[in-house]
Amino acid sequence: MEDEESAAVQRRVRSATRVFSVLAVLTVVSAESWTLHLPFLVAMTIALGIAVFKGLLVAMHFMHLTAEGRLIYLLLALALTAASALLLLPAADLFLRG
Amino acid sequence: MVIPYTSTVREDTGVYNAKLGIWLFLASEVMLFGGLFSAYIFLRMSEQNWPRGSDHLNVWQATANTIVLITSSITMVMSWASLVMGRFRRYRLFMGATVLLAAVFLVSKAFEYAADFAHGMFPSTNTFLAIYFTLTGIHGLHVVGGMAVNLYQWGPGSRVWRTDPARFTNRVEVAGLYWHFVDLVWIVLFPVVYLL
Repeated sequence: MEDEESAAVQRRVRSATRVFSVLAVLTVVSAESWTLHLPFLVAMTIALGIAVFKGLLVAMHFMHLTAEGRLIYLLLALALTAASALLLLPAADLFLRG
Repeated sequence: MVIPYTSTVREDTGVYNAKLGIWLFLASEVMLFGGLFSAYIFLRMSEQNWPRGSDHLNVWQATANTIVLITSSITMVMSWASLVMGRFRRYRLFMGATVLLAAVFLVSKAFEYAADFAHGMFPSTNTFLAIYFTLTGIHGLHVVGGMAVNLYQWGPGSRVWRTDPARFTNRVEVAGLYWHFVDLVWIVLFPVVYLL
């Protein structure tokens, strides 16, 4: 049992180390992309795309969301839905009022 | 007094109490930063000439800060893993590194703010700088809070390891969840404020 736990922890450490390397590379890529003076929409897509991917890596591997149960997912879904409402409701108001 | 479910999992929730507690807290933090990012989006949309972050801010310093925070996240994972494997001295090494990296981030931020002020860039200068200082300032306060907790866990709080190692390991795991969230917020904040 202890050997299994130790092996599971070591797998998690190896996974986290790999994720760290990917995060570091993507950070430099993201920063380098601004030196290219790309059109705004292209720059925004690249920057936000990389940021979302990095955020998901942190959430899944460092915060170990992949191993959590439905209750945690439900909590996060509620929070993200409410946070989205913070953005969408004023956006709807702006859109309707022109 | 014995507090239940500090080490064992509750049958109804499937997690120990502190883990549920920290995820509830992080859900509230999602609302806080979600509101701030929403404010950024609407302020930017309503402004005709929004300055490009990279034209006024030090992108490479912020990039270095991002690497520092990401490194502190991996050292946090290593500190928890060391406790699970019963290696307390290794835990202190990695938790100490996490606290040190947090200090590096804050010192770098202080120098960055000082340089901004020296160039006449204050929150009152324009809307962009107001939201920049608000977002990075509130994030910085979260780093200070996390650093204080981690320092306590490295120092006097680590006495619990001797009497209840499972409970202490869970405390470090929970502190780690908060720390990774702070890292995650910066990962999104960096491109939004500095690159776009």
